[in-house]
Amino acid sequence: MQKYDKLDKIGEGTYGMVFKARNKETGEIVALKRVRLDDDDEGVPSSALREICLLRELKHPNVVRLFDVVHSEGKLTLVFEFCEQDLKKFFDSMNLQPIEPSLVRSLMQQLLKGLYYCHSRHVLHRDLKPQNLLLDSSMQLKLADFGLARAFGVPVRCYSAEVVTLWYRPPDVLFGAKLYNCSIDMWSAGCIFAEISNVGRPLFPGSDVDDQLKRIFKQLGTPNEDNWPAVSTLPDYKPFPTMHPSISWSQIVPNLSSLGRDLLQKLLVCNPAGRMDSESALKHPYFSAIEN
Amino acid sequence: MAGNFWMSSQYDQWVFERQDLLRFRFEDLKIYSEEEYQKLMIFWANFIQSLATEGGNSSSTKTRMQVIASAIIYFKRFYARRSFKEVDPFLIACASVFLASKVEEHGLLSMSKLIQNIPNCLKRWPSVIFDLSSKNNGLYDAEFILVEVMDCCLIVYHPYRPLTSFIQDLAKDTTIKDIDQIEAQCWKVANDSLRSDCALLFPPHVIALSSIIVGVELMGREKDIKAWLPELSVDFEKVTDCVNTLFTMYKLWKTFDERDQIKPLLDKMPRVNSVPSQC
Repeated sequence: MQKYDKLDKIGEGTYGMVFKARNKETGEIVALKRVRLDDDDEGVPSSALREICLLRELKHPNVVRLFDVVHSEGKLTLVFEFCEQDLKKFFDSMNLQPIEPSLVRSLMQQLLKGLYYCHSRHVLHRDLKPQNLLLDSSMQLKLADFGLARAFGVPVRCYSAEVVTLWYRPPDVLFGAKLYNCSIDMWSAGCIFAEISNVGRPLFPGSDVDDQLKRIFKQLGTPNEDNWPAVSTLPDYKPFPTMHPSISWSQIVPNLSSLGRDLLQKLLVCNPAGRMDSESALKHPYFSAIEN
Repeated sequence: MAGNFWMSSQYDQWVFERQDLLRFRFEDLKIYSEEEYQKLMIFWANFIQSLATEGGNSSSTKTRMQVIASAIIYFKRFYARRSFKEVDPFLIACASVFLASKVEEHGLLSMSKLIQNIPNCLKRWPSVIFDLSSKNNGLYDAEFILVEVMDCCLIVYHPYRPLTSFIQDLAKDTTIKDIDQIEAQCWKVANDSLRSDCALLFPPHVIALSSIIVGVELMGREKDIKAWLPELSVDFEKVTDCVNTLFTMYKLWKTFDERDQIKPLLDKMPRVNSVPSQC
């Protein structure tokens, strides 16, 4: 670890502290993620291993780069490319001033490009949220934190005992669906799209699973066997009162163009089978049409 | 992760030429003949399999095979980069199983449970003694070093997936009887390929196809693939090389009486610090 000068603490990640540091030889600024090893019986935590082995295979401008893994004195440190901020901090810095429509579009396009790259390699992120989307100084967006989500069930708490947010989870997962596919990330991408256009106001800020589902159904309508076959067979399914959408999308996301709203509605589909995938989303006219 | 082999770290960094392997093993081949080296590798593959089976969680056999296969390949990759005298192979074998069970999301195998299980796994080789009970820390460090020496390339592409699609393709020929018997035999060969250098020499689809060729030959049913085989577009030179590697391994394995022969081989093993230092 003598290779790096630690500068500031940036935050706490899924499994330990994150520091900004400088590589003494090259002067390059990096982010150091220290892996906490508190359980003797587990060795290197699976979440860290998952992040290490996935990021080792992923190289894309919209996916955070893992430069190195350093092992010294019984500690493990992951060395990442450094990004100035995450999407959440960017929202906070805007002080509710609107974000330029071209920037909204560029951020969403980058998010989808990163997802398309991961999905085409069969990697699901499963825990997308503004805090996990990093932004560098030239507003390049990068997917980060592949460590939390696991193949069999998304954990409810991360290491700091902070409850993992439900806001970006699709209804199928909230109903206990275990077989995830890329559609889980596409729902989260939709929620984040709406949030970007509203400068950081979350779309469905539920307080618990019930409240989360209610908020979703209030906007999209309660699903039923007709529009979502076999929904009632999901492990944690329970019936909700039939609600019909009453608030128009132009009220929910007033800053989005009609094409943007169209894309959003194709992502926010309760039935995962009907949700748009990343490849088609990138081809949506929202990204190609010249609007004004 | 299924992903794409051609864009993987495995294709990029872990498929070698035969001469490379001889060069990597130069230190160890001063002590062992090449044949002895291959016998040792068969023994460790068997030991790893026994560790993963005995200590593993009871879940489907297929998942377990994935863990075993990855663990054996971690072990092989490690000793392609380091010699036996640098880190105790027993320690790396244990660390490989431990690491693979986490990477393959097989459910966590606790380190202490794994260690407790070692004597059980060694019953097949009564002359072999290895006691890790005092070396918990050793296993802890071995895991780190294993990750480091493998340059974090923990995702391994195995022949099983391409094997399944080859068999599906073959099954389109409805004149072939008992295709499931053929499939079972070929899976077995693919598992056995872990006892050879195949995984360090060939891409997974080459090993898969070679397993089919060897599998049907062992069953005396070469005729069944005669029409199908030439239709495929693969590097047949590589496939032939891989088939020969598999047959050589079977020949060696047959003559290798592990119970009696392993002790003298292990006795020749250079002494190492049981607790690995940074390599």
